[in-house]
Amino acid sequence: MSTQTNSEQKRAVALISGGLDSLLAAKVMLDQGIHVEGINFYTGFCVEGHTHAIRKKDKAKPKRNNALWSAEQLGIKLHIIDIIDEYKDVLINPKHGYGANMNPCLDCKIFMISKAKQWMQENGFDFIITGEVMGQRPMSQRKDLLPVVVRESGADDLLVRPLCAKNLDATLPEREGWIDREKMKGFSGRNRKPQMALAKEYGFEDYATPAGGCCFLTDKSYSDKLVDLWQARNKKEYELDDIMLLKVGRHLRPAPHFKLIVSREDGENKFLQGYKKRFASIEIKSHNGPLTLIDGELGDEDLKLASRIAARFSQGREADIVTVKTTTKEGEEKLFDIPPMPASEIKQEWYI
Amino acid sequence: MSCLAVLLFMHAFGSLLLLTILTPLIMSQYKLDARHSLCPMPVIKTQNKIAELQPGDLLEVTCTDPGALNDIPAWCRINGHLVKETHDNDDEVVIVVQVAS
Repeated sequence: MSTQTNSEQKRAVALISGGLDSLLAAKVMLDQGIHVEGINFYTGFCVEGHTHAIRKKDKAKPKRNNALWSAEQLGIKLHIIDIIDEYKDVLINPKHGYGANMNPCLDCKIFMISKAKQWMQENGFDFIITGEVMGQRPMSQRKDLLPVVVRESGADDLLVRPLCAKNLDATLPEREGWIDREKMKGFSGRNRKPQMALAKEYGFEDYATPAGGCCFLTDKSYSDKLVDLWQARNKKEYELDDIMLLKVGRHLRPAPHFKLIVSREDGENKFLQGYKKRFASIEIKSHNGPLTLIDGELGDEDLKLASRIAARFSQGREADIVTVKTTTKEGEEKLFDIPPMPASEIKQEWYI
Repeated sequence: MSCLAVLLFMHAFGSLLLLTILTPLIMSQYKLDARHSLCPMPVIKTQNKIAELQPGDLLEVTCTDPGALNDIPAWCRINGHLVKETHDNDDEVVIVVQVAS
C-alpha cells in the first residue's frame, strides 16, 4: 500500500546494474507506490556478454543487456549513461585504492552514486535507490564502508538501500513518511538465498546469476593486460578502443616495444578487422589462421619474429613454411614466406 | 450558398488529402552508424540520437554487435518507441526505429 497520495508521488532514481539486487531494490520501492526510473552507468569495463557478442561459438547463446531486461521486468524507464571519460580518474587515481585486482570498487560506488545524485537533482527526483546489501561485497559493501559511500558521494540521507534498510539508520524518505521502513528488508552477509527467495516471491525468473562478476576490472587476466598497457606506454591513460581490445584475443609481448593481439577464432577475426586501420597487422595467407594486430613499431627483424608467432597459431603451425601478409597502418602490404615458430620457442613470459 | 459550401468542402478535403500524402515525407529519416561498438554503446548511441529527433522521425541504426537486435528493441519498448524493421545480415544488423510522441 502506498504511503503517499497520488498528487505527491515521490520519485526515486534506482541504480540498475542488471544484477538481482538492484532489480529487487527497485521492486521493493515500486511496491510502495514510488515512481522509479533506472539509471545504468557505462564505464567501458562492463562484462555484459561482450565475448558472446564476438566469438562465433557463442553466437547461439541468447544475448541480452541485463540492465535493460531488469527495467523491462519492472516496467520502468532506464537511462544508460556513458561515463567512460569521467571514470578514468576513478580508475587511475582511486582515493581508496584497488581491490584484489585493478578494481577500485569503493571509489567506483561513490562516484556512481554522486552521478546519480546529480541526475536526481537535474531531473527533479527525490531520492536514490541502490541494491546494496551490508556485508555482501567484500569492498564497497562492508558495514564500516557503507557510511563512507553515503558521505563521500554527497547523497547523505537521500540514499535508500531497500534490501538492508532495517540494518541502517533511517533516511530522510523514511523519516518524512515517503516510504515505510517496515516494508523494506534487513538482508546482510554474502548468502544470496534471501534475495533468491524474494525474487521467487516476485515471480522474477531468469535473472542474471547472483554473485556473477560484472566488471572486467575484478578479473586478474584483464587487470594484468591493463597494467601491461600502462607500463608499455609509460603512462596511465586509455581510450575506449584500448579497453575493448583487452577483452579480445591472446595478448603476447615478445619485446618491450611491441605487443601482439592474436585472434582466437573467426568471430574475433571479424571483430579485429575493424581495427586494421589503427594497427599494423599480420594475416596468414597459405593456411587458415588468426588475424594478428601489432601494437607498437616494428623493424624488419621484429616483423619476422611477429609473423613466426602468428603462424604458430594458424593451421600451418606444423608446416615447414607459411605465407604471411603484413599490412602497415597506412595500408602498405608485404607478402613473404616464413617458418612458423615451434611451440617450445613461444615463451610463457610473453603471454600477458 | 450551396456553391460556397461545396467549395469549402472541397478545400477541406483537398487539404486533408494533401496532408495525408505529405505527412510521411515530412517525417525526417536519419541514419546512425553504430558499427564496431559493443553493448551497450549501440543503445547509448541510439538513445542519444533519438533525444535530438522529433516524434515520428525514423532512425536507421546499423550495428555489428548482434546483441543490438535484442538490446535496441528492449530499450524502445521501455521508452515507448516503435521498432519498424529489423534485418539480420551476416555481419551487420539494422534496426529502424520510429520516435514516439
